[in-house]
Amino acid sequence: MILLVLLAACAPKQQPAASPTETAAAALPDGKALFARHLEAIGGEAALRSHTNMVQHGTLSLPAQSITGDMEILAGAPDLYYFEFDIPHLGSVEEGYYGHGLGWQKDPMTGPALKRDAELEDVAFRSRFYADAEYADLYTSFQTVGHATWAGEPCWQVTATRTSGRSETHYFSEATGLRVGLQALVPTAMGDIGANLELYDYREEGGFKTARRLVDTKGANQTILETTSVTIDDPNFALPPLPDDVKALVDAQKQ
Amino acid sequence: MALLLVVSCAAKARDRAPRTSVEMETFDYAWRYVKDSVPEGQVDPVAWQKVYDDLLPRAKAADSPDELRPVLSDMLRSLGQSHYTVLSGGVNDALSEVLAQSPQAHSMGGGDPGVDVRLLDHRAIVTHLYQPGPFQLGDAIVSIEGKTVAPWIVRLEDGVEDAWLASAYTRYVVVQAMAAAPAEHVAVVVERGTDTRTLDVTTTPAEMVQGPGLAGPEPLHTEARMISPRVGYLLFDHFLVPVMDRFASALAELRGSGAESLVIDVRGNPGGLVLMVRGIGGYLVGDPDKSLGTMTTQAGTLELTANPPPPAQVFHGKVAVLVDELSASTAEVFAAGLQAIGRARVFGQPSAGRALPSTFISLPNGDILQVATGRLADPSGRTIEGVGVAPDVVVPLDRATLATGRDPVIEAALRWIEGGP
Repeated sequence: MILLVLLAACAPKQQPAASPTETAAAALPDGKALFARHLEAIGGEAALRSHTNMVQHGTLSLPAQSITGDMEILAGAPDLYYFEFDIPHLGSVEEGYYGHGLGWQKDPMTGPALKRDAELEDVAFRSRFYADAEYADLYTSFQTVGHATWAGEPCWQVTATRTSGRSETHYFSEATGLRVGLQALVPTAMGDIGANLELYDYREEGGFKTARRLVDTKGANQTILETTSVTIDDPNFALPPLPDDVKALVDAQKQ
Repeated sequence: MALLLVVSCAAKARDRAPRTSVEMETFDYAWRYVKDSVPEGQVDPVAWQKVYDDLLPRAKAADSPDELRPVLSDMLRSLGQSHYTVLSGGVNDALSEVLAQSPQAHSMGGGDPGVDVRLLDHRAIVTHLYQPGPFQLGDAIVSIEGKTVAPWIVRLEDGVEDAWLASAYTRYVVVQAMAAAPAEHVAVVVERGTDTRTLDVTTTPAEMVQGPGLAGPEPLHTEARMISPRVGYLLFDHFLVPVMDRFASALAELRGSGAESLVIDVRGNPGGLVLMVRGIGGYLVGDPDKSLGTMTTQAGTLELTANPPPPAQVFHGKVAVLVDELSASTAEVFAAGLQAIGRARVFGQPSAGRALPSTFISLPNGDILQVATGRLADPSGRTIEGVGVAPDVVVPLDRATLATGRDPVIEAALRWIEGGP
């Protein structure tokens, strides 16, 4: 995620992974079953698949730096995604995946870029609209490694490996089954950057729940994404046209 | 200063608590923030604890931000590195005192006098002309609107412990003193050769930017022109967002004018947004796998890989980069990166050696803490902080040469580009 690159230098002390408590292997629930339980907790596969797009508006803030800006996230089936964050005094940071292997980003400091290699794979992965229902296809292994406290909740900690071979750690609330955390190394053009996400405030819209508050913590710094409005199944849903300079990169790549 | 983000830090003064507890809270917060954010190996935990213990009595006695600030400054100074500062309005005492005497009072009027100056032999010398006007290179600025400059220089040289900062502040206050509102006239007395003359300087509209925190807002300059039939000259004095588009369009314009080689002037450029090295570097390095440096933080090491535009926009000709002692931070990363991968030859004087990624944090008492969050190195792994960029060709500035209307650094770069030594 492009923002992680921007935020990496803001006192980026990697948060230590939550330590799993000693639990007999036999007592641990099956990791894949925990993904299934999360799917049910957000409303179930049928509810999720009954929709085709979602638009979120809200704010992204870095409290320690006193930065808050508007944020927009567009997501559509099967794998369409657009993110924009307007950083005060800096300009817009944009990221998108427009399907068919086209992932891009643009920010006022580095200019436009097409994603490639691991970064492209990652954005394509993150763009899956029905990802919560596709876990069996998106991951090759699910290993529950123990209990942990994450986002203030007792959780099951599951290490899942994507088909690409990348691993990430999911935290599922023991009480609700909802995913309340995720730790992963996110590939960027500059190298991998750690993400330590806490997911809060699940609310239902259109029969399924989404987390309205995401917190990424790095040492003394936090990045907070707050969703203030959600629109589902907008009949006029469309991703913004590619910016001209991104389009120029696409055209150059075709030549 | 290599900022990752330009930050408008809102003061967070807390009025409810008794003042001293706010200052103690601020002291604790700043100490812990540094402890938690400084990359491992950069601060000895035992020594850092001792700094806390030693300064604690003074912090407890502080009853206001003004009283606490010297304590925090001593704390940060013990680190012995750049990019650790505590700011209130962004100025220190000597600078505040000098700015208070400026004919432009406390802030720039939004105009641009059109010159750059350097401290040479304890005098403010005109070293660059951004636009035609009454100044000539090599002019020594004597007074501005009747205010004599020499005492300001003495005060800054005596009152600012860091000689580099004293030099940077001198440049700032002299330009600031001439930066009246656009289209206003400013009387500037200069010494030119053996003459002393009064110049009628008319300011032009300027785009004021908050630079990397040295003193206050300053004009943003970008300049592009042909300096020989096949050599383009491109200057930018900050690594801030507006420069990206201007660099791209200026480069296109120069290429359209026949530029086959390029002189990029980052003398006096204090840096800014370190990620811009990737964007601007991409126009000179077409390979996205090519790194122009590394930024190591506690999250790991990030490669400042080039982010090239479409291939047709990438410039492949010879590149000379000009640096001087006031080229700092991102400007140093940029020059060092291009130099290390053999993409550019560097001319001028050794750069500042003040290159650390940093962030600005609002403190509980309303002051601002600047904290380095990592280290920057060139592609060969050489740390830039404390070392700087060593030019391939060292060219000192001297007033006598400037007074002939020539810039010896540009001339040296041109000689190399055109096949000379």
